[in-house]
Amino acid sequence: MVVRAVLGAGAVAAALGAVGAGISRRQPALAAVAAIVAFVWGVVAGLFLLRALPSLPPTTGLDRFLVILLPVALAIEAEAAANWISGFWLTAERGCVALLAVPVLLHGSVWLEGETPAVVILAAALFFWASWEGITGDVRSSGDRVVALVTVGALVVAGLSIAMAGWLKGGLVALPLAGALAGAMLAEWGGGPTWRRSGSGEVGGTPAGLPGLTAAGLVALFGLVVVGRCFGRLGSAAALLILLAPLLAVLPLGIGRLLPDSAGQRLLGSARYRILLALVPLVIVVIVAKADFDTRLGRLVGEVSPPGPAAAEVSPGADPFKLSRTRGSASRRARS
Amino acid sequence: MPRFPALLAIVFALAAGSLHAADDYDYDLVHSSVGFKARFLDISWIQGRFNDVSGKFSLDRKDPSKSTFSLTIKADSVDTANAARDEHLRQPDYFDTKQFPTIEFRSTAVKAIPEGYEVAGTFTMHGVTKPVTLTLVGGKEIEAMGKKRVGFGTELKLKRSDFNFDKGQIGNIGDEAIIVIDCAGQRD
Repeated sequence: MVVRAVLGAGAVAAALGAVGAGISRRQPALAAVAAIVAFVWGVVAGLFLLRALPSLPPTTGLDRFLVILLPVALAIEAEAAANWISGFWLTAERGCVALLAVPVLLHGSVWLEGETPAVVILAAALFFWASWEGITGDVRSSGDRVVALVTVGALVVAGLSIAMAGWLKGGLVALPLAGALAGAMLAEWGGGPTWRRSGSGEVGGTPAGLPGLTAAGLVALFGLVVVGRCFGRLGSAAALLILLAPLLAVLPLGIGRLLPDSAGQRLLGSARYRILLALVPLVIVVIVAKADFDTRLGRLVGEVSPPGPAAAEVSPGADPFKLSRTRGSASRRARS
Repeated sequence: MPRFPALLAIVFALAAGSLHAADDYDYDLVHSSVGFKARFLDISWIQGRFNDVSGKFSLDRKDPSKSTFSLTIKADSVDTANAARDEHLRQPDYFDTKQFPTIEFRSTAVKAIPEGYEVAGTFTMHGVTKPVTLTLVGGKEIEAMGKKRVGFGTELKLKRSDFNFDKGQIGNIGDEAIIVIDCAGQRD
């Protein structure tokens, strides 16, 4: 079911993205909006296949992330893609969403009953807004694809970590998000119109949908990490490391621009180098999450695994996705 | 004219008298328990309890319909004698205790029955409120350890799926859960 959901999300997003790019071949704005729409439908398809569509009205943090935060952020990115509003208002809208994101995600929970200092919420909002605004702006002018790729990886790692910490549904939801983002980006890179690179007047620069998709990935990552940290058992250090990955993918590019010599610029701007740098925190997070799973929940999974062939599927230390298959086989056995 | 204040005083005295007809009890955490059990693979039961419970009940023995019962359970205090499982149960796949920190019962109608009281009320868990009717067995007051004490026992069967629990987590652990409440109340 998980693999089907990820592939389904990716296929729907890629197909719709390709159709959108094909229809709007000479109109970058339209293609950019189409890329965001493709991502949205990819996510919907993936969640449907995963049987994890949010409940309406939203009652949990995960519901509010999927029903409120992500759609509002995507609407803003669609506005940006269609050039409907000026840069100032775009920045202001992103700032408002960043400021309200944490209170919306934590609404009605114990976190907003005096447990969370306002300064923490403000710091999270500032971090979210700065990375969203800064990275998206940079991608729009540079056409850099590395951040979007790293964000897909970070989403997968966030999902695995949340699931291995004990919140299976919260973790699994990350996978269709990553699948849809990857699918929409594939379609985007396969062809379609491009934005002019700022200042150069060059045509054939940034793929039209890339800034919007990068923003969508960053918002999805932030929302998922916040709900995973506050409602699941994702640790603070793991949450910070996951959020750091996209920044590490873009930081060398910024430092490289400050260097006078072109060799240093080339090295720091190298996609391979930046991906490797961003992978470091993600690999650390996965290793720690797996070790934590083995010592705590792995034993529990071992305890609850039913006898018979399914027991071999779920041994102590097995990954949580095997647990879901075992549950299916157990319930099938129970029905028979 | 002076008759009116006197009449008023009598009315207040009667009203006060009727209020005092009800005995107010505090939940005695030391001598009470709220436990639960659910089927494991449909072959055995997994049992647990909630360690942090509070409540009040007011018993009007002359007019039981005026009695009230309330119980508040801290979902975070779930205890199944396995720390890893307890952590798992607190997460959103199960109780989602950061979002829904309490499980509550509030009575709406009470009537006396031979075994004790039949109490209709609302049961709120995981953000969902459903009407339930509890048969509280007991209710006899005794005096012990310097306090007046009364006790009740009841069982409540419910389906986790009715309370919006994640359907993906209903499989190995059965949908139906039985909540067993044995509570003692005390007053001076």
